[in-house]
Amino acid sequence: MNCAILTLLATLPGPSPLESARTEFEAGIELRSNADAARPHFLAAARAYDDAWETGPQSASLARNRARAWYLANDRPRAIFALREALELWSWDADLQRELQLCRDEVRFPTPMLNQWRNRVSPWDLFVISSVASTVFGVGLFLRMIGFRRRATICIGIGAMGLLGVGIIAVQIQKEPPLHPFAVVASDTVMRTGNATLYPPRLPSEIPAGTEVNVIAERGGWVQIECADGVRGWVPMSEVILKGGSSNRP
Amino acid sequence: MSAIGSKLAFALVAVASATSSVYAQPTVKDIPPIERNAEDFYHAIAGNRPIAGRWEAEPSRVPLGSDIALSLIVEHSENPTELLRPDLRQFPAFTERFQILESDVPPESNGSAVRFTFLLRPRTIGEIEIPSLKYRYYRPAFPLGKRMQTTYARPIAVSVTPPPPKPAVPIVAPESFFSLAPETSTPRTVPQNLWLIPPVLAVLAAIVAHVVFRRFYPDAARRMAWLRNRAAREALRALHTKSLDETQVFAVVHSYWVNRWQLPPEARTQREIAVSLPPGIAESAARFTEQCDAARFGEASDNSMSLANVAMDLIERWEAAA
Repeated sequence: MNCAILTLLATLPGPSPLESARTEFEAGIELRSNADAARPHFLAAARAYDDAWETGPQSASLARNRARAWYLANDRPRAIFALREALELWSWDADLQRELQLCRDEVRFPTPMLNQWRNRVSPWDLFVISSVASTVFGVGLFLRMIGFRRRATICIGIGAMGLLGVGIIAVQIQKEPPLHPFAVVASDTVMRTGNATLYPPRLPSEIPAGTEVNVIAERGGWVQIECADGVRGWVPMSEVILKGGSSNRP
Repeated sequence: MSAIGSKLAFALVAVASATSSVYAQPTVKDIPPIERNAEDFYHAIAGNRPIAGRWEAEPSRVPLGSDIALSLIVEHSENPTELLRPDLRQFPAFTERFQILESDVPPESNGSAVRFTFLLRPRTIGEIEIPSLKYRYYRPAFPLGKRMQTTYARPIAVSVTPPPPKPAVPIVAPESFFSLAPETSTPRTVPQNLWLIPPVLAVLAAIVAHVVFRRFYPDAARRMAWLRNRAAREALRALHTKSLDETQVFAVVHSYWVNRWQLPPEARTQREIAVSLPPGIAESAARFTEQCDAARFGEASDNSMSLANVAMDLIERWEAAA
């Protein structure tokens, strides 16, 4: 009898990663006045959000919650990584950008700028502006066809200017350099001139944890990275958080 | 007398020099190398009394995580300045129980006693024994072969209590991070060229609308009639909905004549209107102009409301007759 009950319990579906993440996060908030007690809850929430991010539908709000959980679990590099990963999908999202800026505040190292057109204008913005301009343009065309020349000229002019503006912005976005694969430095580490410890350091000081870098190449357990100020060097793979990398997961 | 005195003085000097040569302070250099390099020998040389070593721990009761100042006191050494400091890191009995920290306290010498201080951090909670230390020393007064003697610093116990609970420290983070972001459904990806669809659709819609329009108004004459009817509709709407004075009523009707019946805009007098409008409506239009003039210049009692009603009635009749 007991075995049957245990078997039945085992077959029942457990809480989804999102539900358990929410529960842990709220438990952490309850204990926020005691960091030692709260952080394990935030850590559990962050791991559950990671699972939800990898397995379930992704959204900007999920990314923000994931980053917040990592931040409150005292793992700022992972919070930065979560936000950067989301900004690859929704580069124009102002909330993601603002939270990334908050996480970056204590990283004393050059960080990539978020001032490109793709960080300001979303495809939806272009679509809405284009729709309005196209409607005005279409009405103008119709008026022109049925003989209202003066009003048609005004409508066509306004619509065409709107569409021209949208086109210029779209071309600017297309011309922006493509996004590199990125990584976030997990802990203070020495950047070297080659992919072994026998090579001398590239910089006089260590790269601080939380620094965002572009990944140029990988070889023999080392990653060649490029900092925001253009300096290139090698760091051990275990010292950076890479997309899809599980070896450096805490 | 002086000879006896000088002999005595000589004898005293001789005794003194002999005594100083017998009691000259021994040094490590005097010890043969094979004994000098013996294990657990820290260069202590004993005189008449044997060397004694002992531990002292301060404090003897500490919470976990705190440090203990452990002193090794070596007594009765003839060469206190030459004594070596034992390296406790070499003894597993110490390193298993304590973390040996760097200590910058120099040896303290007090006569023949020397104190070496070590800084230890216990690894576990409970009664922990500081192990005994084997301490070999050299005793030159003994016969050859028995000069290396051994003593021990006897073990003592220290008590390590659980660490006191840490004061609760709140998490420091931006306040907005202490709440969950509301769940929103964000599309996974958005095509970058989505904006190209509306212009194409707009052009197509304009063409379709034009085709439909031409279907309902297949020729230009009917198109113009539609436009003219629109002028009548606008005039009726203006007369019906707005409270207009006499001048405005006339302006609305005049605008209707201009748009609907191609009256030259400059034709404003009764005579000009009668001449310019088609014969079917010229007479009634001239009469209406006369009424308006009378109302405007006080020659009749028609107010603006009745004028507006007259105007609406006339427009409907003209449209019906057209």
